[in-house]
Amino acid sequence: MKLKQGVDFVKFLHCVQACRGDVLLVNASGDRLDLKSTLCEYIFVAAASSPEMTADGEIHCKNDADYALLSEFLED
Amino acid sequence: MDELLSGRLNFFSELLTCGQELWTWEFDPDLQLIQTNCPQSKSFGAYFSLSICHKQLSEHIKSEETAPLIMADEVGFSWIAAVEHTHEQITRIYMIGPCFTSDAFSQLLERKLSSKPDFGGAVHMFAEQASRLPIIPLTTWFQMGLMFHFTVTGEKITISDFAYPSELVDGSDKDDSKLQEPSGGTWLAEQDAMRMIEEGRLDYKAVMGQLSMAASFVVSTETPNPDRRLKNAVLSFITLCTRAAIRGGLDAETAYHLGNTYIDGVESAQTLSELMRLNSTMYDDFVMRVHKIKSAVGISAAVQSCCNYIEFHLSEQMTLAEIAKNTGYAELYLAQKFKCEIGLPVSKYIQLQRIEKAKRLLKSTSKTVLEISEELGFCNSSYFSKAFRDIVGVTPAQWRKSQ
Repeated sequence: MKLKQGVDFVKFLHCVQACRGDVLLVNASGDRLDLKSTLCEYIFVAAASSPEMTADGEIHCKNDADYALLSEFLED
Repeated sequence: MDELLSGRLNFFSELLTCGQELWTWEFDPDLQLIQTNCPQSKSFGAYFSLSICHKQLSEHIKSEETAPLIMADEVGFSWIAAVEHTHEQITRIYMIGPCFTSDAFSQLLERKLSSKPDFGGAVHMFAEQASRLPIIPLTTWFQMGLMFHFTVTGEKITISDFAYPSELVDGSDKDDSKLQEPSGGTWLAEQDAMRMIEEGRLDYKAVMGQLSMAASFVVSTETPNPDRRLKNAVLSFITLCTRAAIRGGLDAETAYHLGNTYIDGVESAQTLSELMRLNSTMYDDFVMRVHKIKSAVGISAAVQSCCNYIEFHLSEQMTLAEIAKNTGYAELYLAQKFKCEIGLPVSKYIQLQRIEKAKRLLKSTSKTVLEISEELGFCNSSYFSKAFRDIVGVTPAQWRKSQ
């Protein structure tokens, strides 16, 4: 699922920390960021400062139940 | 914020940006950002908010601690926070950072980033931001923290007054260790620190700042693990202090025994603050002992060896007969000589030494009053508390709180 544009990414990453399983951001080239790692969080923040970098990325939750936790940040 | 503080802070912030990119941050007590001079405040503000440092600072504020807090996150970004308070109420939090406190952290981050896919340029962008952060040796970083705290509060403190988070970060590879030559400044500070012990100088606290720095950095092997690195540094410092005390006149057996006791304490220390307290107590202990020896010219070998025996058997029930037997002197001779030279009967001296040791344990460890009373051979903690109060004037718990 794609991330909504203009979301508060710090709030989003705080919600990611509450997820049970891993949460990945995967871009069109297949590069992955494990958003539960601090370093990847920082890279995500750097990416989010240029919206085009996250626009083509998709959020993948390893645990399906976690999509509900992140629903306010994800496009339908 | 009053105008005076505002002026001081502006000046200090300007100083920090001379030749480096080191930023100042102002938060309200809920850690909502009020202002910063960081041009990339959105990114760096987010890094801080997401890091363990944010949680540590929140805990620090909740505990109403007013000491400056030094923190480092999982990727090696370090921050120092100073607390402004009026009438015991925290009004503002000021922070400087981030920076790296060692090449090792910055290189480790570079290596980690180089193994990641570029993610549309995001990794490169983050690496670029990180590469512009200053690398400030921890000695200098502490010194800047002292000045920052003074700027905010007007209080002059020493490095031993810093607060350290209770959670330590350890996400590092052991392979990243490297050798680094100690700087000339550290070498000189170390020489001064050793000289203070050798001479038994009780005024050493006047130069305590420099001594603490030497304490942290006499070790030449750096690892990116701050916890292990500080423990190694303190262990090395204890070894140096032990040798200095021997040169100062403390007998080798006593000095090694004491050194080993503190080394055990280092290994079991759970937090950085415990470690720093232990370091400071150890140093103080060696200085005091050498001072005692240098000022006690009239103490005979018999009484000195009696004192040493007592020192190392404080946890046991001792009788004069046992002391005399173990030190090789006649009981009556020793009792008279001891009273004459020390001015106290042996039993009273033992009690005083137990209370002195209790003070050291209360100050430098997190052991409970019960544990300390057991360690010092008191039959129960009530008796220990009473004995402590009779000599010190307050209970052990009250004394610890006052420290």
